[in-house]
Amino acid sequence: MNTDRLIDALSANLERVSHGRLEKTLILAMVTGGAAAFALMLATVGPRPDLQSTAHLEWSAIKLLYALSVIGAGVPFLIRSMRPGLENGTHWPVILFPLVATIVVAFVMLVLGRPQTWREMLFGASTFSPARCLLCITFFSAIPLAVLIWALRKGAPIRLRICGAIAGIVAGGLGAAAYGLACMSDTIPFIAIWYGAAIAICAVVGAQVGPSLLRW
Amino acid sequence: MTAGLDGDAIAYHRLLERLTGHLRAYYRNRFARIGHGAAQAEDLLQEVLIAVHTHRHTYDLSQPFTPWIHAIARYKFLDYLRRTKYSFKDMPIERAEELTADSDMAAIESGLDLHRLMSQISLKARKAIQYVKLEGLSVSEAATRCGISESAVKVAVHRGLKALALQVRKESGA
Repeated sequence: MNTDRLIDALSANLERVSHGRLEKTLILAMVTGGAAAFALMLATVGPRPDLQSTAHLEWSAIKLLYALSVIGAGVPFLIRSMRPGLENGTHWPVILFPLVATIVVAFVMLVLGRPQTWREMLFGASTFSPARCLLCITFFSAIPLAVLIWALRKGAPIRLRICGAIAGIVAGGLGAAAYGLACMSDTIPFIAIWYGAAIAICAVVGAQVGPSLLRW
Repeated sequence: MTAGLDGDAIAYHRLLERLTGHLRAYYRNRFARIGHGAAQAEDLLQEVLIAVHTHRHTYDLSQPFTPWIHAIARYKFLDYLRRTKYSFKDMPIERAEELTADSDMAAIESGLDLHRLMSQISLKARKAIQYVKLEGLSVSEAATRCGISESAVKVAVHRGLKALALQVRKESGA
């Protein structure tokens, strides 16, 4: 087809473009993905039985805060990565700040704590806690990641691998938020290591699928 | 672009036309460097125009336009490279010769050379050579197109070729 004819065809019946559509799509995707992760948590492991008692409420709040800060740090860059020309503004220190800061706090707590408590601090309430945590968070993050990728495809991501990795981190954050209500291990080092590792797995998965799924 | 996003078809048409000029130069240049033809460049150009159209909502009005279009153009070029590299890989080895034989680097290079040489001779001679020698029109057809007599076309072609030959000699001697 002749290029001039193509231009004519493209500019014929031109529709008005609504602004802010991308942001709305992404937020919708996050709400849907988060709800799906939460529903999946309720359907499988279920919330921790002592969730009603106030003693453990603060720990659920801390886990939720951790997950929300991971999401909050990633989302602005996810929105930027959908718009060509802004993709170079990705600041990894900002995105990784919640994860790294928690590791630093965990390290300080380990140093200050007694060595006898290290085992419980690092590996949680029972021997299966780390494995359960890793499995559940990555499992709960699968639907959020899929929905996020669907939303990102509405945009025009340029650096597909990086965009996929950030989507993985945000999806991991959503999965961590859901699992936080089911998790019985109430220590900062546990959260720093195992939640962080699960989110890192999601980021790697996102970076792997990004180039093929986000292509346009 | 702003007007185009608001649905102003005339402004949008003008924008696409101007973009086409820039993008064509950009891709021709890139494609010549990697040894791919101008036809492929035109295909990719059309693909980019469609991409610009279908992704126009990703342009943020508060941001400058050039980085946006440049990011898309570069993305599509890299995507093209990736795509063609994969198709090279997927091809069985027995057919590899077809691919290498298909290289039109020589055609492009000589085309560029000719254009450069032609730009150095007079407009009248250039037109005459273009019609008669390159496009294969008859002398009378070329005469009606140029609006001059048949003998004038013949003279123009003759003089133009002489001037071209002189240019070639000068360049190969230098």
